[in-house]
Amino acid sequence: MFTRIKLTTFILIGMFLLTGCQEDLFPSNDQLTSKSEAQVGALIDDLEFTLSTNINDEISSRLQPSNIDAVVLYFTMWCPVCDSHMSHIRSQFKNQYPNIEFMFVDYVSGSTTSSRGAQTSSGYSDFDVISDYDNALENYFSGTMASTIVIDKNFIVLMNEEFKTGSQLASILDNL
Amino acid sequence: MNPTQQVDTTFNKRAVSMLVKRVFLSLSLIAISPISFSASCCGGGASSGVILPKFNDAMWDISISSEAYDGYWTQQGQLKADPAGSKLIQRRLSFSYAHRIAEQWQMNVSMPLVDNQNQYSGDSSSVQGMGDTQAGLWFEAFERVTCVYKINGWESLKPSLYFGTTLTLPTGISSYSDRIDNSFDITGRGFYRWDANMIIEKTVYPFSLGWQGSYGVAIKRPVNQEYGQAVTPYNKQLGDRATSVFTGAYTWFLPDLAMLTATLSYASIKEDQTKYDGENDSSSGFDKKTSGLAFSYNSSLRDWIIKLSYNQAEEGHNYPKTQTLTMGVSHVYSH
Repeated sequence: MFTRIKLTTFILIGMFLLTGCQEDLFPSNDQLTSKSEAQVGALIDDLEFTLSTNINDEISSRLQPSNIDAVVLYFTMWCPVCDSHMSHIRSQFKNQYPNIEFMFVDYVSGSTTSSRGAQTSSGYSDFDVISDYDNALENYFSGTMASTIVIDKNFIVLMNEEFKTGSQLASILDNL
Repeated sequence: MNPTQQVDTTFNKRAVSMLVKRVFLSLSLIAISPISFSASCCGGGASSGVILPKFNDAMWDISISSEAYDGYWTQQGQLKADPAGSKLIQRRLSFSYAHRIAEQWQMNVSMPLVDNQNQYSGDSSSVQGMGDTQAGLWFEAFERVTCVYKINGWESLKPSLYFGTTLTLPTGISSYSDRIDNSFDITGRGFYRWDANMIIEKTVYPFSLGWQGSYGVAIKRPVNQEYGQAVTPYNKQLGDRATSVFTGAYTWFLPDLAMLTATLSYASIKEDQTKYDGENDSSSGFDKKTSGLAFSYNSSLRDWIIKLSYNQAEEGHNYPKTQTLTMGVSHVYSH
């Protein structure tokens, strides 16, 4: 019996150590340096992209109208949290900030056709969705679920973080 | 210009984010999954795969489950489909051990291994890793087995009552780890959580009824990076979580004195909104209701238990719709 307990304990401790769990067991709030090239404050290039409607476009054309101050990219994988955020952006941010171009980036569908299908079935046919079928924007911004990017008229990245409550996004847009 | 030529970031964030979602779900389900009467009732081991029967000293349990994703419910409760061409499956291999530390006290530990298989129309990924560890301490508020064959007065109606607490340790690798920038290692939610649990059950052969409830509080933690990217440090706290599971079971006694038990279950889970620096995130929080059917075989010596269960999500808010098939085996030891 004792041997059995020792063996089990050994296995459990071994598995525990193998997890390499240090970061989350002892979380830190130290400020880190970003590894992304498209971090906040970075000057980015005029990125090209394809909409789910198969129309090619680029950041500069979105920023060209004189009444537009910035472009906001929201990375979606058509999940519950994404849906909540997108619904929030469409119903509140879009109306509150007419000087901002909001676009969703579908980084999980492999074609414009698939992106369009996901967009339609999710109820966002009225919104501009970028089909990032080649993962270009995803890689460029290190984007992932709920990543929110703000690019101003000078192609400066003002935000590259998760959407969270949306208050940070609102704060940045208020200051434009 | 080709944007992909401007960065050397080659990893695929898609799988990482999907994995976060999966682990988030799997860890949610751990709290409400032990819905199979393991046929070792009579005051123990009835409602959870890692709860010891009354007069046993130790038990190990290995279970494997496969969870398929089939759309999701929005925050308003509307069911939406996953992107066309996607096939999302999570498999979990869980190792559990329970040990009696006193006549009416027992403890247990559970560690899952996670395997995510994601397939989208444009890509696919395969991710494996350790999940978050759970450790539990339970008190049995009864001294004798409570299963009866016939009701003889009020005393025979006394149920088995357990009070327990579970600590979830963030031993998996979460989205806040600094080691996910070139791998698909996210396997945990990244938060400590403390749950208070209660189980009440009563068996009058061949019928059993039970209820299991829990309330959990996640510990607030600082975050200084997301998915390997530095962010302005902030504090995050997941919402409190409440679970409730009702079960009803019927037991057949087999010719060799082994037992076969069928269990119907109905479970609900609700998690409050997440807080960022004390501010509620209105897009977070979720709830889900799940029905299940489980079978368990308990050997004639009551030392081996084989379990099979199927759970189906019925309704929810802000949560994926899933079906889960679980198989497991437990071995119980006595003096």
